[in-house]
Amino acid sequence: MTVLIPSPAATDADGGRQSGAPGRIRRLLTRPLGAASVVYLLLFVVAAIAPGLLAPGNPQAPDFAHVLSTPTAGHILGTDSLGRDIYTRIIYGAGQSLAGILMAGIVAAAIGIPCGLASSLSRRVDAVVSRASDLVLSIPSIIVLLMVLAFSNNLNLAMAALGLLTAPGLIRVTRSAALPVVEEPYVAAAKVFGLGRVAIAIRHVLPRVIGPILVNLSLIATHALIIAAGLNYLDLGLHPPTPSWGGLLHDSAQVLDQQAWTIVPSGGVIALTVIAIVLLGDAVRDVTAESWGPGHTRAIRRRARRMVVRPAEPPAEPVLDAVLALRDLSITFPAPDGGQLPVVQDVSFDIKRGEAVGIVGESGCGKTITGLAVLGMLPPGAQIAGGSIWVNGRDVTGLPARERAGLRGKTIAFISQEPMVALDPLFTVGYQIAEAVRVHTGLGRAAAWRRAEELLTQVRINEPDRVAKSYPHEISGGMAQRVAIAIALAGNPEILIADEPTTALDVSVQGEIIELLSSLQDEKGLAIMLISHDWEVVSELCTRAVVMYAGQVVERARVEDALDDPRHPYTEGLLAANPHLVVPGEPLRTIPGNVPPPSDWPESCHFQDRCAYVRADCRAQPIPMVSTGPERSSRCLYVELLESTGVAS
Amino acid sequence: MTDVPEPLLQVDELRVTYRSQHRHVEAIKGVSLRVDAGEVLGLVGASGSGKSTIGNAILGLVPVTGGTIRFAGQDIVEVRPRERKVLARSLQAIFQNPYGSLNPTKTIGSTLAEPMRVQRQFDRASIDQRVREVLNKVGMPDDAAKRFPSEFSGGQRQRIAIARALMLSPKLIICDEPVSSLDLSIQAQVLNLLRDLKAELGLSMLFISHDLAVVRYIADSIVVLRHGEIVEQGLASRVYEDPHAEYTRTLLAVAPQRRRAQPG
Repeated sequence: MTVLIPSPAATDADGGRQSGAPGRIRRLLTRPLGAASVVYLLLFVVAAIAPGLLAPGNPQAPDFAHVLSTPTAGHILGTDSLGRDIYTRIIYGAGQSLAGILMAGIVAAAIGIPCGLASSLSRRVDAVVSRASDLVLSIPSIIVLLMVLAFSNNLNLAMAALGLLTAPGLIRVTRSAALPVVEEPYVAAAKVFGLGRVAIAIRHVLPRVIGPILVNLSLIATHALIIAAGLNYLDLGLHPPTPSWGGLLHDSAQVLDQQAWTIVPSGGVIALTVIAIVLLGDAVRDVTAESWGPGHTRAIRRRARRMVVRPAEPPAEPVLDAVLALRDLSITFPAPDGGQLPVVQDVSFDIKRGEAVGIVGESGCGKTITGLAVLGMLPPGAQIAGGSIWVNGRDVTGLPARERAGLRGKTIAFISQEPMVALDPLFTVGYQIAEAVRVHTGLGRAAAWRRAEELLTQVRINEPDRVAKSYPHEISGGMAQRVAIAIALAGNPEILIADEPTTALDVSVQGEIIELLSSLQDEKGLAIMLISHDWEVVSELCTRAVVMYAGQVVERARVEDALDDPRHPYTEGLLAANPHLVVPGEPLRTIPGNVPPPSDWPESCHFQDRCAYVRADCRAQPIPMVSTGPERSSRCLYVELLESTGVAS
Repeated sequence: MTDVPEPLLQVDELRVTYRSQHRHVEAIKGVSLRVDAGEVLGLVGASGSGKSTIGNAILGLVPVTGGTIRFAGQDIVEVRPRERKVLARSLQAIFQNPYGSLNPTKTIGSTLAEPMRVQRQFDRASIDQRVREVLNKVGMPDDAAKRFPSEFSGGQRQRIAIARALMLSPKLIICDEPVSSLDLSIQAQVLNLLRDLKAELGLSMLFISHDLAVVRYIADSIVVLRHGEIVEQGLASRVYEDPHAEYTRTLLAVAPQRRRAQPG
């Protein structure tokens, strides 16, 4: 009937954002701390290059009438023991401080960044570089600096040596940030089309790791500033009468008992500069990541303002025998403009004891967020904007975080798509299960270990005693998911939320995990909330299905009813668009387009732009859930249309 | 000699051994296979069977321990980085993880332009034009070129990764699990796209997957791999209808069942 052809994503055309250097600088200046540190450091640079512009006087000119004075109209920061103006001397001292910072920073960057990148890309280089770094790190830097100064009394040379000595730290930061990046498939793709290693490092790796490098460089710069001042303070590398910040500090310390004020401006300028450099490093890092990170398009801002979260109606009491019941649950995320963006709207369903319910839909439909809300683990900023969550007949929506945490593990447990992520590589499997057992039951170590082996037996692992002693890297993905299930069972939960538990596994292992969940459901009366995009998995485990699309429930039905006779176009599309139903020689049926992002959700039917049956009134008003038969309902105005044409045949 | 055309890709007795400090793991133990022009060869196996290693060996991403790999008559095992650039014009790849397959710091346009820029023989206008062409070919709007990967869903990113592989009009694409991390409904979209491209451009593919249903849809012939060895190979229809090896039968048996009654 309907042959659906993939079409270009119907997305907005004005989602552009400011990229490139000018946009970055503008964004930097909109941050108050970023702007303040930029202004301060600009003044610092001007003072270093052209001190005369900021301080008209002569830094050496003595004013014997005002020796060791506190701030006055003539000397805004006071004078030193020879009556020289401290403000003027600070400005004239900036040059040496900047030279020192640049010297150390440039030397460290010139050595650290290339060596760090090279060692992440080549094992051979890594072997040489890490030995050399270890060697440099073992040299006591203060002795090197003192030796350099003893032979040359040249502070810039000492700062260059400091740059060399701090380079190993930068090498390590760069290398460890770059290592995961070089494993990414896009780097492999670049190798395939013949891009050289140097080009890969510069184009594909450096932009990803520039954040930590900038922060590290700002720390090296402040380190250089403080060390230089410290050396000056110790009377090293000074060239009197040329002023330097450390020298000022030295002078003020000499007269501390006569005039305590002078130490304030000379110490303060060093502290302020350190703070400004660190803040600038942080701000530049954030702004760099923002230029390619998600969000911040104009479109999102505009739409978010327009969308209003509807006030929730008073929630209905849930049915009595439901272990878990959701009533009109709505969840919002913070929008970039400070408003709230709905990501889940009015979701309701019940799960009874021993029942498995499948929450079905594509990525981006709000399934996982709904699961996290049930766990009481919404990400920061997300909030429940309406509706309620009932566990064993008790409304837990407004419970304080501590009580909520008490439910997790004991009443509600969770397994995810990535079992390996749930396991700590440093501890044996048995230890981790026993830990969970001890947290939930308070058993002693030996008893908890025995219980861990029992749990491993329950999840159908042969030789539980051997597996308990294995580390996560020694077991397969399917086995890891069994272990994750054992950990979930440690607190004897009544509800298990399984978020795509088989998606990351080989087809051959998927069936085994579903079988295991099914038998646990029978044996323990476990209620399962299965989150999945795969109807096959849902049909093997669940009796009822809740289909979600773009934040809303669009259909609720018994699984076999949904499979035989879907009553929502999205359900029908999902069922048909399945490569496992392939008929050799025929194109696969698909749902055209993509799930729109929350900022693009209309008030009316969310599925309208991908629906083959769409009519004008689908675009006119919000669509209510309507009952379409015993135990089933659908959010579609044209259910009869689907009924009469039946499943596309 | 004979009039049998030379295969586009011919792998003979390929061996790959991974060496770590203390042990050697023989990942590929003498695998031979061929891909003819215009053909899609499905490479099937469970995780750990070595199927991705074969793809990576052909692409020069892992060192080959033994055997030969000939592409369009040329031995490509010992290809130097500079020659890889020439090879890239006819041999490209699509990888599994749609979130890692694009550099998040580069716009889509810049990512797509790179394969052509590396060649150093195209001017800017022709690169821009080609970027628009391939974007349209994979069903993406022109203005995608100005945007960053973070603005696209997994399925859209995989389309863009396919577009990048098409930039230089290659003869063979190594597809390493190109759909397995996508939602089923999105898998269907991407598989249709790959099949249309095959028909339209006469592309050959080495299609690596653990999912027999997916491979069946796209492949002309199939190689079943287990523990680094071939256990069965043949035409796709034959392997599905009459699997000879016990292991293939097991794989077929555990494949998702068509639980749902066939719609009338």
